[in-house]
Amino acid sequence: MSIVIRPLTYNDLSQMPDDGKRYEIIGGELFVTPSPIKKHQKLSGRLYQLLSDQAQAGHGEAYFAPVDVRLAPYDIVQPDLLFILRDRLDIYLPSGVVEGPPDIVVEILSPSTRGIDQIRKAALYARGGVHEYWIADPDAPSLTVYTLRDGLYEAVPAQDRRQPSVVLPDLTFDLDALFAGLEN
Amino acid sequence: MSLITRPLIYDDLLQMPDDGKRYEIIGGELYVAAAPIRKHQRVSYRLIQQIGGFVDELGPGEVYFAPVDVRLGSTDIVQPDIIFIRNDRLHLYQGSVMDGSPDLIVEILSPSTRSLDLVRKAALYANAGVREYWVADPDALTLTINVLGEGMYDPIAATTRTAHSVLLPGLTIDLDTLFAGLE
Repeated sequence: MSIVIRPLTYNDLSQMPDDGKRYEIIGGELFVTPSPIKKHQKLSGRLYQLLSDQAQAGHGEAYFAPVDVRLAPYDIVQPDLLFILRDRLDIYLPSGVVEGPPDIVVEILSPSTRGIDQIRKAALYARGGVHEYWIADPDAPSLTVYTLRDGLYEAVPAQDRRQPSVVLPDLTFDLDALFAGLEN
Repeated sequence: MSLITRPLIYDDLLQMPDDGKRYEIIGGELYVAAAPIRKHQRVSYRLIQQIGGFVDELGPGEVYFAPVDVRLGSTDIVQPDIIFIRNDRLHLYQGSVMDGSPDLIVEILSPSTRSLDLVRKAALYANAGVREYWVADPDALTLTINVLGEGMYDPIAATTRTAHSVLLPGLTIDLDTLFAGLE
């Protein structure tokens, strides 16, 4: 039997077990991440709340994992959170895949994904045209909002611990409040 | 010294030593390959002769061999073994960087780059719109011509021992000649 070495695609994902782990394909390679820890989930919930409020205000829709986002035939990821602006909601197909870049993608770092989220995924999202990429670090704790400019991400600085968004101009949130009591 | 936690870009390549190794950035990550072994270089030479000869005679474009920095994106800069660029796209190759996708790329596998070339680079080249991606394997004695379909490659393995290009009709590689006497 010969083994064919080739880049993996969305079809290959359907062969993966339904075991609660996160299965992603980046540059044709498989990445498996264990289920996240409580601190991660808590932060995720808070961030989802912020994005959900913007959805309520009519700007678009917020979704939490697991949602398959296909940025290219060999790049299918499951971000922690994503936001799609109102006029682009049709990129989220009835079949359950988001075909193309969400307007905002949020990744929450865990020890196992730290490097990948900051490097490989940042490169992937930039190349895939995701306008805004949030990286939240529950351990630091910190949150950096990156905006896409000329194919690369630039940090959007917070002012007095208040973090703005470029994609959602109405959104500015308090960083201290975001991380308060996360350990408990 | 701080840990790098951002994707690498072309400017970072300029900091790399000029030591004969191949330095590439794929998806923001650095890949370093040692200078290739003789068998790899022999296959490379033969392919350059064949592809170059064909292209020079018919004139559809130009063929170049490593090292050419090919910038497929801000965080994707590679040095393929051989590239072919059509005439109307030659302007993308200015100075020492090709800023855009070659029409055809050839990579010759070596044990250390096998997985990289077959998976990661295939995905990268497909995504970048490289119309034809050749993978030569001097150990398995195969030449796979990957033709770009809808964002993905359709591999055309050689029938019997001849490989045919689709991008450059008439360009035919005899595999027995290509791999003759390599051991």
